[in-house]
Amino acid sequence: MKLIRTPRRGMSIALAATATLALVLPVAAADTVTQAVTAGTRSASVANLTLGAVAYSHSAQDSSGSMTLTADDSTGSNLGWNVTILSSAFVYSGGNSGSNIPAANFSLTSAAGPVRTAGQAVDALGVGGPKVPVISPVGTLDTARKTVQAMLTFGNGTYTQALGVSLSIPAQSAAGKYTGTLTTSITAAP
Amino acid sequence: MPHIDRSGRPLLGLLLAFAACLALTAPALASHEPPKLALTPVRESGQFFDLTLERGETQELQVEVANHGHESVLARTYAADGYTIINGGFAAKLFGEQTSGTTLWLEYPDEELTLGPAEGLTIDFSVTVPEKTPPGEYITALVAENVVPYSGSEQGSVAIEQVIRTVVAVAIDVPGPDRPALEIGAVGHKEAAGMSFVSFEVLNGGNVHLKPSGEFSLQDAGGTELASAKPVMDSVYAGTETLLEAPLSEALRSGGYCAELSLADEETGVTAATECLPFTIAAPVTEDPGAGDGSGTIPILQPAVDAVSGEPMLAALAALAGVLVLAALYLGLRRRRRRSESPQPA
Repeated sequence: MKLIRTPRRGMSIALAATATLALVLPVAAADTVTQAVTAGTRSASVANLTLGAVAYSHSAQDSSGSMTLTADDSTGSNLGWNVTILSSAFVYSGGNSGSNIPAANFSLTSAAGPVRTAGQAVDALGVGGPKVPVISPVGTLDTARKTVQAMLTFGNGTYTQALGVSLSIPAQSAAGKYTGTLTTSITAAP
Repeated sequence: MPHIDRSGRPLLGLLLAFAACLALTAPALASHEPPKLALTPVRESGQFFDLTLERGETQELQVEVANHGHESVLARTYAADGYTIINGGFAAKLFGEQTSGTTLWLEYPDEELTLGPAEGLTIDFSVTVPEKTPPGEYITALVAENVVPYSGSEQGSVAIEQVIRTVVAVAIDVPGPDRPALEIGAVGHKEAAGMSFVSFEVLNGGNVHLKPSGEFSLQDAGGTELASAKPVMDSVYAGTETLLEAPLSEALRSGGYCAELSLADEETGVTAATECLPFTIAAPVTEDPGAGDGSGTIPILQPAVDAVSGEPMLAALAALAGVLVLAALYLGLRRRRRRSESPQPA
């Protein structure tokens, strides 16, 4: 495998225009082969997780909340995309000999229709999207679930999607901090 | 000479110190953004690799990994097995998971790269179809992701970190006769978050990708239909199996049920169907009578407000407003008490 370092001048100009901090433009390396202006990227990430407060309990209990998925397609390719999310176990850290909460205890309980914040409108006919898959993606997040997708010629913009979540906390979970890792993937595939 | 109420001074000092702390910490929290990595096929018309290769043939390819964010990112790129997710669709296995099958056709070593803002890297790799490969459609994946999980802003007792991935499929068609096949397996049930999920195994044992759709029905033991749907699956890839999972709006009670599913792939014409397959939901296990109802007061989980990249300034301003309201109440009560204690005119 050969690696070729490629400074992205087109991208640099765009970033420089919007950055609030001074950017140091990458120094061209000796093996640079192209300076072509290329397309933007597709990206998706989750923010604003909120879960209800839960007190210590001898019984299992659920904590419900929400999070917001943001998906952006700035490639201009018109080829559509899919976003999946997957959770790890919630790893315990603290001084009370707690146990991890299994990934299967973290569930997606609702997936709202995506809302445009920039770019192409959501298909009013509900066909091209971006849209929630026909079979609802709700379920446990120990397996990857597709929460939103855009078909060919749709999804050229930025969209947010409200997701309901629930964490089932086992009985006698120790006081401390529980950290899960979400893997958020935006995918191009047939 | 005007009267000065000195009792307010310690509170005022406290408030000023609090405000100063906010001013110092808020900008640092707000500057953090999620990584924006791109993984783009080079000299390909689509966003993924769509190849037709004869057995024994090798093709040289290029993919570009780029950082579209404003901060340097320690990125990782690797090849991973592709698989069919629940209800159809493509996903790539996680970093470190065993690779197999079509992924082994790629010469694409794992790589960690530090990419500055607006910096990209072109990676050469190759695909070789083994000599005795049967004809059919094959698929694997390339992935780019942040190595250090993104954790956003300050977090509460339950927090999430994120690995943000861009996944590109490498789809390879080895020419030859199509042999589509579709099979529905066992029915299953599970419960989560107060809902029931009835599932069927769906197996694509053929050599072409399918997009099945059909009809689902759930009945109770007496044969009364409780739910029905017309599910439309996304791609079920050749040689893979997955689940079609029907979420119900509430949890089913204990007892006997049956569910049936029929599926058809419009493009190839293959179909599969089941009879109404029985399953039983056992009665819930009675809780330990001595377990109590959770009246303990130790707070273990706090609301994870703005756990990732929310609005730390908003949260801080709300806290400041709360402190100011408390201070005003305290001063008002103190003044009222002083008035009531002062001697009344005769």
